[in-house]
Amino acid sequence: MPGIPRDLCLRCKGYRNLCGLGYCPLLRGFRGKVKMISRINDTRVDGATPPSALVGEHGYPYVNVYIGLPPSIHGDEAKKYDDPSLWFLRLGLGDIIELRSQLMYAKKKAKVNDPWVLYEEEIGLAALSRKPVDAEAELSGIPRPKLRLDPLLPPIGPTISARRIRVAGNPSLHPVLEKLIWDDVKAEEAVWTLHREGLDHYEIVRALSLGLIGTIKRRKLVPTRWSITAVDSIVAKMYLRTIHLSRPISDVLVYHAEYLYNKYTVILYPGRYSSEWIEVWMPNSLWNPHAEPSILIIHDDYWGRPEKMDGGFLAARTPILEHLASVRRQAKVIILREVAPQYIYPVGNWQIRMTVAEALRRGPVLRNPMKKELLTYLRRTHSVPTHIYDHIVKKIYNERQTTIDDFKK
Amino acid sequence: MVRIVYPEAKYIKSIIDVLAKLADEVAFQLTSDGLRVKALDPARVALIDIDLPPTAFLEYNVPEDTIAGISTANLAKLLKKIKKGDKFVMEVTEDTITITVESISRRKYRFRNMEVPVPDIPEAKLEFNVEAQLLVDVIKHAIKDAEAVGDTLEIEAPDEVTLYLRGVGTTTTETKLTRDMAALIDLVVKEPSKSAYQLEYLKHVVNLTRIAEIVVLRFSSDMPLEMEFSLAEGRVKYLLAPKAI
Repeated sequence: MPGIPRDLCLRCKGYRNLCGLGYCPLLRGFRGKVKMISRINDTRVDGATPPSALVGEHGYPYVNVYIGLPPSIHGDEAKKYDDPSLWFLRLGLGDIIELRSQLMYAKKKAKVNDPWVLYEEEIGLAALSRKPVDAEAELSGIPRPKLRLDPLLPPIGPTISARRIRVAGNPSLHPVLEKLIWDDVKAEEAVWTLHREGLDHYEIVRALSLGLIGTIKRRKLVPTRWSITAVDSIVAKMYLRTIHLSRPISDVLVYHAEYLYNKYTVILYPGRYSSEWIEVWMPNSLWNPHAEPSILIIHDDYWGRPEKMDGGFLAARTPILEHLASVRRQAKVIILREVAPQYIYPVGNWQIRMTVAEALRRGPVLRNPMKKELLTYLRRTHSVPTHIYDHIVKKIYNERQTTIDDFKK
Repeated sequence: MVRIVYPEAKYIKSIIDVLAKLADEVAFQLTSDGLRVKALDPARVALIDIDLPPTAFLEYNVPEDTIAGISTANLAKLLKKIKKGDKFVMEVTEDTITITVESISRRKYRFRNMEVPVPDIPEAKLEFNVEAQLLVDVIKHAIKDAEAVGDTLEIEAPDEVTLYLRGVGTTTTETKLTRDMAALIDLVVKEPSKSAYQLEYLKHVVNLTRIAEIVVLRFSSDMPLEMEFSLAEGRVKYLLAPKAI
């Protein structure tokens, strides 16, 4: 398991809880897989897709399209296998691992500039449905549960190539989305329309990645990972238009929320828009096997152009821009993310987007704190290296830049 | 119709790259005195002032004062593939702007002449206590060095013969220049001065070091810094407000 030293697992064998999680992530995932595979006894598998669909990026432009099916699970029951908004704040990491490992992925090859193949089989439409859709896959073999002690592989369900995927149920789409599929509208516009209609982030991502929106002649399959960030980036661009026309806020506001061993503190302070993302991975956490915390800092400028493309940063920025646009104010933003070693399974960046949104929904925990107050608060809630706190405090209280107007005569 | 031809499109590109970092849209003011562009960044910290006299152009046909409103981001994108020796031709009518890049082929771009208000630019009458003339490479390297250690460049002239360019952060870097060095062409100090500027803004002008050889720095203690880049014909001035202490 990532983050957990392997010899610890060998000594623990799943019952001594040496990793401190209170459950064994390996067994939890394995149990899910066994549960699922016991329901498959033929190469023909049926189930309802929650919906869940992914487009891989390896081998681009020849990519894999994955359809997630929980075998023999039908109707609304299937929804919970892939629905971050249902999981958020209700499920722990262990529950998510167990659910995820019960989802079998049927794989098909496709060429990115030929999304029409998916139209024929209605896979695309099924993937955009608001309700689970019954489907049937003819697999090339029967999956077997395997317990993998691989430090890099999260416990996900097996992927198996499918000879044929047949959609049996009726997909039910959001009316606006249904219309946009037939419209010859640029993807950027379509994404923004869907976002304003209040569609879930991942619904829009699926529409974009399966090539169901965009100028008709130029539709393409977009690897899921890319389209997640593309949607964030489009939405941010639109919100920034409103934000640029708004007045700066006059207070320093501090927000905080945590979920799945990820802590977020968002600080808004007076000034023209720009943001800073500080991501700290504690020692021994998922992407940091070293003994020192590793730190990533990314800025973006007034126009919202980040120095480096980072999916996590863009995901965290979206709810903040949405908030600023809704109150019609601009502000300088600092987002601090601290990842604890217990976060052993990367669930996806919905976790970032939703936790930051939750922090803003809860309202500020501090309003116009004194320098000392803010420092104490940060020290109490986070355990990142102290120079980060100094950096933040310095940015907010010392960063005084004069303007040319100050020297007008 | 207004038509101007600039002999080296690469120079225009460097200038546009700097403009694009400061403002979305800029107004090119074409008068009989030449091409003038003034732009202020949204935070009102930096001001750029470009002045290219008619003599800088191969052809300068401006029968009446005209303003060309241009989206800098778009133009920067168009000029990406420019080669050395390409000619830059701009034609402006009331509604459209046509830009032609003449090289081995002729590439034409036409876009709408946007209505860009000429920004209300604070006319700051500033007195500078220090004036230093130096080779652009020195300032370029000082900015790059300072970027490696922090976010501030401190400039200090403690006496009549020395100039320091310091990068200040957790560690510091220092470039020391004295009168007897070839890189410092001239230094006039009326009063010892020291001031600090944000690199965030200074690094934009690094692009300009490609098209000029000499830069004149003017500043006073905790007052704006003026950098003047002299081109073969014309000049670019960059005024930057200091960090407050």
